[in-house]
Amino acid sequence: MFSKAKAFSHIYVEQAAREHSRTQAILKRFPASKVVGIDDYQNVFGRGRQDFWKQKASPKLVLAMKKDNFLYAGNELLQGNQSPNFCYNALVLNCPYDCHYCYLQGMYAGANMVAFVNLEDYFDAAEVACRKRRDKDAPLHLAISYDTDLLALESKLGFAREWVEWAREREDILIEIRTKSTASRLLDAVPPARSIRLAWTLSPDPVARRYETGAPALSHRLKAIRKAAAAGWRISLCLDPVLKLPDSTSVYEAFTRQLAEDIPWDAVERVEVGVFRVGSTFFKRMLKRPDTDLLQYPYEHDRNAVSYNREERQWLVDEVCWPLQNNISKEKIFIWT
Amino acid sequence: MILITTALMIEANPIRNALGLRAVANQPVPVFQSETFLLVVTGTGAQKAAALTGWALGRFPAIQAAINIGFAGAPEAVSGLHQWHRVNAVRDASTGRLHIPDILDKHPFAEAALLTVGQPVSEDTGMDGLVDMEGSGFFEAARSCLSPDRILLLKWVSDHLDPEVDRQSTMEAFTKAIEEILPFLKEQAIGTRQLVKDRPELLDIVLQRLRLTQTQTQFMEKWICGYLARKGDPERILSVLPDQAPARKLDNTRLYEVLKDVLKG
Repeated sequence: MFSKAKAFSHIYVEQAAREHSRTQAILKRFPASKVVGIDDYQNVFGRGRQDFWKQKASPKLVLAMKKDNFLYAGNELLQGNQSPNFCYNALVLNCPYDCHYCYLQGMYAGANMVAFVNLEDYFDAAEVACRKRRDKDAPLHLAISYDTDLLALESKLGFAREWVEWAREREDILIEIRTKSTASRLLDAVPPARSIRLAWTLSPDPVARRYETGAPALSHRLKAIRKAAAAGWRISLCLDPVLKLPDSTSVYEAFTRQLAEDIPWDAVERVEVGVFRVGSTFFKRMLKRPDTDLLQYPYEHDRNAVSYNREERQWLVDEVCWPLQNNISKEKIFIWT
Repeated sequence: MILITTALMIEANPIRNALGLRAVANQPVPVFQSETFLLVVTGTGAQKAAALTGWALGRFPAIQAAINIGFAGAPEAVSGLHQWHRVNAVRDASTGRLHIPDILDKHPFAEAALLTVGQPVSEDTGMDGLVDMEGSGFFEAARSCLSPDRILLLKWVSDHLDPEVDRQSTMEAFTKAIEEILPFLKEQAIGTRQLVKDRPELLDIVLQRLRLTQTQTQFMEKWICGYLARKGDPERILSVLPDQAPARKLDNTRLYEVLKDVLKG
C-alpha cells in the first residue's frame, strides 16, 4: 500500500488570499507542499460526504480570508462564559491533534485545517468589542484557540505571536490561548504579556496516551507549564474532559498527585474542571468514529447535550476537585458539568 | 470494486487487456469486469461521462472507488508528451465550478489541475494545467455516491493541444503507458477491499435467533458494535437469546427490548 501523504502535503489557497503577506510567509515554510488554487475555502472544507477520519490521517492546509463573524459570543457548553465580557473567535478551523472526545469531529464536515490569514480584520473586531464590552470594570475575555490549538500550529502559522504583540500593552483585554502543546515556539521567542493567559488542557497520562492522539504526553505539558511560569506568563489549567474509565479512581488519584508535585501552583490563576459533554448533534456524527470505545459509553442525552448522568458527573468532579483544594483555593476552581 | 471510466475504446482496450477484464453482455455501453475492477466506456464529453458514471454507480452497488483514466491535452510548458498526471483540481469550463479530489496517499505521479471543456481546444487556454472533455462530469457524478478521497483522475498527456494527433503512434504509446500505472491500480484495489467492513459475528447469531426488521437490524448492529467496543461480554448476550426465534411476535418484541437494555446498559 502507498503510505499516507504527510500532513499539509497539499495547501489550498483561496483566490482572495493568494497575495496576502501572511499567505506568502506561510507558503515559504512549506516548500515541498503542492499549492492548489481554489475559489473559496468551502470548495475543500464544506463539501458533503467527506471521510473525516481518513482526512485526519493526512490533513491538508487551506489558507483563506474570513469574510464575517470575526467574534462569537459564548454558549452554555463553553467554559469561560461566566464573564459577561466573554467571546471567542475562530482563527483556524480544526486542530492538529486527534482527541477521541473532541467535538470538532462532529462540528465540521472535513478534517482539513483552514487558517484565515486576514488577522487584521480580527484585530479590528476585537478592538470594537473592547470598546463595547458590557462590564467596563473587567477586560474583554477573548479566547482565540477554541476550535483549534493555535500554539501547536505556531511554527507553521505564527498567529499566536502576532496576537501577543497586538495585545501586549492593552489593559482592556485578556486573551486566553488554550493548548495541549509544549508551546516551545512561543515560550522560546516571545516575552510574556500581562494581557495573555496560557491555558493548558491536562489529562491523566493513560488518557492522553489512549485518547489524545498526536498530543504531547502529560510530562511534556507539565514541563512547558513550569517553563512558562518561570518566564512569568499568566497560566490557567483546564482539567477537561474528566472521563469515566474502568479505573477512574486510581487514574485520577495518580493524576492529581502528579499535578500537586509538578505544577508551580503560585503561578496558576484558575483551574477549570469539566466532565465530558458535547452537543447531541455533534455526538451523533462523532459516533461514526471507527477506532474508539470512548464514545460507546451509554451517555445520558439531556437538553440537546450528551454527558454522564448527574451522579456520575458529581462523582467525577469530586474525584478531581477534592485533592486539588490542597493546592489551590476553592475560589479559583471553576466546575463545568 | 473499483470503477474505471474512459471516454474512448482506444483508451479502454489497453486497460482491459492489462487487467484481464471480460466483456459484460447486454449493457447500454461497453462494460468490462473482473472481481476487482469494472471498466465503463462512457463516450466523449462531460455529459456522457456524468450519465454513465452515475449509471454504473447505480447498477453496480459494490463500487467503492472510481477512477477516470484517459487522454488530456496540455501546453508544452505544463507537461511533456506521454506523461501521467494525477489531477488535484477539476474545473468545468462551462459552469466555472471547481471540484477537489482528496489526495491522502503518496503516489508516483506528477500532479496537475484539469480544465474540462465542451469542445476540443487547439490553443493555449491560459490555464496552468491539463485540458480534457470528461473530468468534471465524471467527478460530479461520482461524488453523488463516493467521498472525495475515493475519486481519482489519472490523465495521460496525448498532445500539446495540437489539432492533428497521430492516432497509431498515440495508441501504441498509451498501451505502453498503461503498464506504468498497473501497480498503482492494483494497490488501489487492495485499499478498497479493506474498506468493506466486517459485520460483527454476534449480530449474525442474534439474527438467527430473533426476527428483526431492517431498521431494527441497523439499530442492533450499532448497539452490538458499541457493546463490544466497551468490552462487553458476548456470553451475556448469548445467555439472553433463546435457541430459536420466538414464534409469537409479542415474545419477539419483548426479547428485542431486553437485548436493547443489556446492550445499551
